Amino acid sequence: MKNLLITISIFAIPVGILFSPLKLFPSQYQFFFHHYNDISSYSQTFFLPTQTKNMFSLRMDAFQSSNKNVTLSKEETASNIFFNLGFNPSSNITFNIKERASSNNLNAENFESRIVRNELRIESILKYSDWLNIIPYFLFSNDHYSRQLPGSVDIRNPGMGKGITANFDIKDVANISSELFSLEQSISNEKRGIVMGSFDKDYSNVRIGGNLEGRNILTQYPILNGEEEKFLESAKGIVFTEFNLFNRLTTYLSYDGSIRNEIYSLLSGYAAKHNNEKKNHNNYTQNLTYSLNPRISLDLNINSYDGIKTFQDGLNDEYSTVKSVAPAFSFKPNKSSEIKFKRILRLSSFSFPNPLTVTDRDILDKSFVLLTKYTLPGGTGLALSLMRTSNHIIYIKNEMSANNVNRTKYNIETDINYFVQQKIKIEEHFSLTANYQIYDFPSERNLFTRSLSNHFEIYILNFHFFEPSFRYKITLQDWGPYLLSYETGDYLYYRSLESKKETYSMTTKICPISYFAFTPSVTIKRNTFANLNQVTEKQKSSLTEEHYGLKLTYGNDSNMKINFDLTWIRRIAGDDFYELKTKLSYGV
Amino acid sequence: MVFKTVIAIIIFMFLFSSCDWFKPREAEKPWKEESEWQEPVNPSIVISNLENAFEDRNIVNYESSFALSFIFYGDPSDSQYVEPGIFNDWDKEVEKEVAILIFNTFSNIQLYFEDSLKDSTGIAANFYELYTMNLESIDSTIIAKGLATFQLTLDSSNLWSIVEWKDFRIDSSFVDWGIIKAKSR
Repeated sequence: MKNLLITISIFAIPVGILFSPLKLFPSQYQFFFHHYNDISSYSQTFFLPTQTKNMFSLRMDAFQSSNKNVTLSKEETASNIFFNLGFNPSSNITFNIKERASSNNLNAENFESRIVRNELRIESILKYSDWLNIIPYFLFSNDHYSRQLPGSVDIRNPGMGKGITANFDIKDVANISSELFSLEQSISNEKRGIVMGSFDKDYSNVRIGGNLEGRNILTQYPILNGEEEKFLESAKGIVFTEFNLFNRLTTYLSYDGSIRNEIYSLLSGYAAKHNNEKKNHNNYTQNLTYSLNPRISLDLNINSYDGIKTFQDGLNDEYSTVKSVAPAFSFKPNKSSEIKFKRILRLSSFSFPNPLTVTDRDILDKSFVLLTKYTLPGGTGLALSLMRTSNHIIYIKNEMSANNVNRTKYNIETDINYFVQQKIKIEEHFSLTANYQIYDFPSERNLFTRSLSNHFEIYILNFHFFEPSFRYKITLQDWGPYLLSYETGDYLYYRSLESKKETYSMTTKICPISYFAFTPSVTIKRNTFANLNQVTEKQKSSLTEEHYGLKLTYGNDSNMKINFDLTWIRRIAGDDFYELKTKLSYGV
Repeated sequence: MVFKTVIAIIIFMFLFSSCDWFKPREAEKPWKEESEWQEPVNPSIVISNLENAFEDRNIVNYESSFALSFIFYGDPSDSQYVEPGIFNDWDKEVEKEVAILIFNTFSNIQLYFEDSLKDSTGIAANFYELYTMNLESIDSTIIAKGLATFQLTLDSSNLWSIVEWKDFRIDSSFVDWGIIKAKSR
C-alpha cells in the first residue's frame, strides 16, 4: 500500500501540471484499485484528446498499472505514454511527431526482469486532394530487455525503419490503401507490404459491397539457441449484395474467402525446423426476410463453409465443412405481445487424412426456441421461453467412438416484472432445466442433471432518501447416472448427487443528496452438497459465506465520479478476506 | 385467416426441420478402453481429468476440461525463448490446436502434479499446481517444470471447468509448459 501511495503521488505531479494549463479542454483521468483475497491491483489512465492552437496540435494518453500476488510473491508493473505533436502549415501538409514509450517490470522471488520499448515516428501527411493522401514516415525503435535474476542478461535492439502509406478514396464508391514498410534493428528485421480495398454502392433497390486485403510480412528475430524466420502471405476478401423485392422480401447474399500461407524456419540453432502451413476457406451466407404483413415475418438463414489446413509434413492436415439452416418466424398479435419461434440445424464435419491422435468427426447441433412476450408500458411484463438444444458428437473411427455422446438440454424460463413508478418494483424469475447426456455405445457414463431455480427481487421506491431492497435466489440441482434398466427396458434415473445453493441479500441505498449515495448490504450464501451414492461413502457438506458490504457513490455535474466498494467476506470454513474496489474518474 | 396462416407456417417449419438433410456419418463401434475420466462435479476432478487426458493424449477429454471462455497466459519471462506475442489471444480453440500438435509430436507423455494449494469458495476455485512433465518423441526427450495456476468456475449444468490458466517458470534449468505450448503454436 505504501508503494501504491508513492506511485500515485509521483503520477499526480505530471497530471497536475498537465491539468492546469489545459483546463479549458476536455481531458479525463481514471483510477482503479482492486483487492481480492491475496491479489491487489491498481491502474490509472490519463487521456487528452487532440488540442489545436494556430498551426500546432497535441494529443496524449498515459497508462500505468500494477498487480501483486501475495501467494506467488510476484509483482508486475506496466506503464506507457503516448503523445503526438502536430504541425499543420497548410491544408495540404501536416507533420507529426509520435512518441510511444513503455516499460514492463516483473519481480518474483527468484526472477526479476524489465522490458523497455521506445518508438519515435516522424511522418508527413501529404494531401493532394480530397481523394488522395500519401504518408511517408521514419520509425526509430529501441527495445531493451534486461534480467537480474536468475543470471544477468542485457539485450538491446535499436534500429530504424522507413515506410510509406497511401490512401485513395473515391467518395461513396471505393477506398484503396496500401503500405510498404521495412525495419532493420540490430538483432531483428521486419518487412511488410499491405494492400486493402473496399467498395460499397447503392443502386436503387440493390446494394453491392466488399473488402479485399493482401499482406506480405517477413520477420527475422533471434531466440535463445538460434535465429528464427517467419514469412506470412495472406489474402482475404468479402463480397456481398443486398436487394429488396416488392418491398416484402429482403435478400442478403455474401461470400467470404481467405488464403493464408505461413512459413516458419529455424535458420540456425538446435533441431532445425521448417514448417509450411497453408489455410484457406470459403464461406457462403444467404439471409432471406419476408414480411407477410406488419404482424407476421419469416426469416431464413442458410450458411455453407468449407476450410482446408495443410502443413509441410502432412500429419496435421484438416478438412472441414459446416452447413447450417436457421428458419425463424415472428408473430405480433398486437402491440404489447410477440411470439417468436426459431429452429437451428447445423452439421459440422472434420476430416484428418493422417490421424494420429485425432480422428474424423461430425457434430450435429439442433435447437428450437419458442419465445413469448407480453409487455405493458412502464416496465411491467411477462415473458416465457421454451428451449430444446442438442449437441451430438460423433467420432467416426473406432479408437475414439466410445466418446460419441448426445447432450440434450430442455429449458423452461419465465420472467415476471411488476413496476409501479415511485412505489414498488418486483422481479421474479423461474427456470427449470434438464440435461441428458446419452452415449451412443453402451456406457456407464450416461448422465441426467436437473435443475430448478427461483430468483426474486423487490425494491421499495416510495421513500424519499432511501431505497430498501431484498433479493433471494435458490437453485436446487441433482444429478446421477441415467442407465438402461434390463428389467423394464427403459432408461432410469439413479440420483447420486444433489446440491442446494441459496443466496439472501438485503440492501438499502441511502441518498441524502442528489450526488451522494451510500449503500450498506448483507448477503448470506450457502451451498449444500450431498453425495447419496450407495456404492461410495455417503457424505454431506455445507459451505456458508457472509458478505458485509458498503458502497459509496459520489458524483456531480463537473464530471467527477468516485465509486468505493468494500466487502468483508466471512467464511465458516476457511480464512476470511475482503474485497475492495475503487474507481475515480475526473474529466475537465 | 391470420390464425390459419400462422398454423400453416408452424407446420411448415416443423416439417422443414424434420427433413433428413443433416445426416452425420456412421461411426464405427469402439474397440479401445477409454482413458480415465470422471464427471467434473468438483474442481479437483477437473485437474485430475486434465492430468489423465494429457498423459493419455486424449484430445476429447482434454478439451472438455476447459470452459468456452478459457484463456491461457504464459509467463512473461518466457518472452526471451519464444516468438514475441505468441501468448496473445490464447483461447480454447488455440489450446485445442496446440494440444493436438503436442499429442502428435510426443509418443509418450508423463505428467505429475506434485503439490497443490487450493482455494475454493463453492462457485469459484483456484488451484496452484507444481508440475513436472516428461515428453518423449522419436528423437528427443524434454523435461519441463513449472507452476500452473488454474481458475475454475461452475457452469449452468453444475459442472466445473477451467476458465483461466497462468503458467510460471520456477526453475531456470528447465523449460516450462508455456514454452512447450508456445513452440507448438
